[in-house]
Amino acid sequence: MEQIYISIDDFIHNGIDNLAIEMPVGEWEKMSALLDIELPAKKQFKNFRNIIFWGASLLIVALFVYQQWNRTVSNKAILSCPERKTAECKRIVSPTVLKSEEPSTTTTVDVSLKPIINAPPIIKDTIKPKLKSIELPKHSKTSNNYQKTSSSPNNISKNLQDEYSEKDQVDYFGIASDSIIYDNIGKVKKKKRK
Amino acid sequence: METLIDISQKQLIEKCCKNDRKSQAALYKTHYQAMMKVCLRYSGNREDANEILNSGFLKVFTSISNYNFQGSFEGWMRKIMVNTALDKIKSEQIQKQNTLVVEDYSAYENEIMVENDAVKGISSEVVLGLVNQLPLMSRSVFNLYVFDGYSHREISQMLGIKEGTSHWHLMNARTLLKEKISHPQTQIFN
Repeated sequence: MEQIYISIDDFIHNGIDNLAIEMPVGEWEKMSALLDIELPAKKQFKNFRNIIFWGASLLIVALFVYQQWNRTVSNKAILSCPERKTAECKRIVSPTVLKSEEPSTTTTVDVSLKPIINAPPIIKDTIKPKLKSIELPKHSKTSNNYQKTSSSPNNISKNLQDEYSEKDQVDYFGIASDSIIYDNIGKVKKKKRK
Repeated sequence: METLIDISQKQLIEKCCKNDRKSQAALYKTHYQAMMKVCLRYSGNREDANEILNSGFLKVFTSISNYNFQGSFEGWMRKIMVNTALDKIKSEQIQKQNTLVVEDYSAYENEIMVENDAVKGISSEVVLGLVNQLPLMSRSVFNLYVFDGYSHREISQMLGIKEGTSHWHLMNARTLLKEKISHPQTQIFN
């Protein structure tokens, strides 16, 4: 009787294919528990990422809107100002707005170079107390220190410049020069010598 | 009829993408048997097979949105299961530090035949038991080559071994299986 041979690979393959496997009770519950741990965590991360993205987008939009609104309000302030060519108006409106909204530099320069005498009353009033508060260095004929440090008007001018910043000088004197300070000090000195 | 099944499966997959638990349960129950067979072939016992199955299904559910409906969904799942099983095998192999290198594999090309009478009456459970008793690497190579249709070159890349070593493991598995079938009483494995 002739023997029939079969490939070991085929035999094993067929054997496994015919294998019947039943799913035990509670198997899906285990899997579901595993999914509850893994999948919501991923979802949370996704949500967190979305929040960051949308938050950043909203912030950018809000900043843009605020900038536009601010610009509109400034424009209105300039237009509604009755004496917008005067120095008073220039003081109300911030320098940055002036720069961006009114590119014509001629008016700005004019105002800043006006002498104090011609300045509006508000500026005069603000300058007066400031001038009063300037303390001149006390001097005596015997004092060597005074001779060394404060005898020349230039030194006094320097002291004042140290005490008041350049910006203050520009604001209150209308010009950024030492000449006015020098003149004032010069008068005082003359009186003392007499 | 076939189209109807495909449509329902497509809907099932789409719902799984939305993390719908009922659809996930239905998919799990539908493919449990087929995937369990894969896992049982690669693992030595039922517990390990369960571990591989659940890890594999977790990967399936978390990356189901990557499935592009081209090719068989079962084939896609099977590949995930095989890769999960191989990851486990590789980690075990690293722990054991077995390094068998075979350069000349011309002697291991022959296919082994068994007598039909000898295999008659052997049940599927016994066949599975025989496969499970094979050494880890020989079992993996046998499964990859015979059941999943990978070439020796692919197997060598997947398992990080030489191509000749893959040939040797296949031959070893076949020889051991034949011995076990022909002489069921002998303890030749391990």
